[in-house]
Amino acid sequence: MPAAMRSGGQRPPEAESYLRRLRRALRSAPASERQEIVDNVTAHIDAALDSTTCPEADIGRVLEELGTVDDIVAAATPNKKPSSAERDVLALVILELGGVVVPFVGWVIGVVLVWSSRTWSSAEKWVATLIVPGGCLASVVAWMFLPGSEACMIGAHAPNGSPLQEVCVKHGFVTPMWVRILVAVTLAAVSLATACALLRIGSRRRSHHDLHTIS
Amino acid sequence: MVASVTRECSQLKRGVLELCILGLLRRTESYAFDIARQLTASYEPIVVSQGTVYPLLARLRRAGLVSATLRESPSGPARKYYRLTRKGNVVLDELILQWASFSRAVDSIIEDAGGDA
Repeated sequence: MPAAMRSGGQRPPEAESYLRRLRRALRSAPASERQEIVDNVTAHIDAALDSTTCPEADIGRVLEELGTVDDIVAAATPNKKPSSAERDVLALVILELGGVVVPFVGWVIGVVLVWSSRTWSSAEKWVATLIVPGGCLASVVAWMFLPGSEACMIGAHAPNGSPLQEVCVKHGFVTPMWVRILVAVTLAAVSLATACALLRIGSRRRSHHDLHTIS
Repeated sequence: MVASVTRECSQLKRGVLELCILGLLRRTESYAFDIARQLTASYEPIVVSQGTVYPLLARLRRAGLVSATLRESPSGPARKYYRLTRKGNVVLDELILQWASFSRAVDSIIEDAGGDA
């Protein structure tokens, strides 16, 4: 729902930009709270500007008193305790290798576990899901389905009856072996690097939380 | 050292903010802008950034400790007024008791230390 127009006229561009950034940054907050926070901050800016004679000159001070968008977002999600290290490691291992053990379904379970963790932001969860879909399964699939592997069989049906002749058939475009290796290794490396980055973020967040929690 | 003291101070203030908002609303219902202003108006402001009051208000409402009503304003657009619910009253009583014993304990510890400063 777009914010209603200010009674005293249009808001200065700085205010509109601040509200846009706030709306974006609050995406991971519960929907009802997000709307309420944005409504109240909008009303705050409008009320503060209505009480001054020169909104364009005073908007800087009004926004400074409000605090940064990060301040508000931090207050909206304070001291959220991250999930345990064991749980997050398990989620990432299943995300990476689950699909190889139980094709596709294993990876979906990994995705569900990652998304239900309290450790990562939505953006980080999207990165984990999309880089690389399927985890290490993507690497296996790329290896198996890149075109041009030769079909070879022991020639039981060799016309002259000579035994154990190997017949190899190539058809269509043949991907050089080094390309197949490169693609498969790159996919696996990128996928594992993403998982490692998420692990590091998680461990940093857990130690940060322990340091700053007064209970 | 100074930076670390400042950080701990802001953590402590944030924890106390909930108590202050509930306390303000027990006296009288208020609209959001007014609550934020009152918390920064005193000699030693409870909050530095007024905007941080709003996420807490939204959370208190979701927890059922305060309720909100949109009401016409004599000047400008309608305002959202917040008031304490019955559950909020009970929680506030409990928080006041906890705060009293907590601050007594802190006072008794720092009283002796005060002389050395």
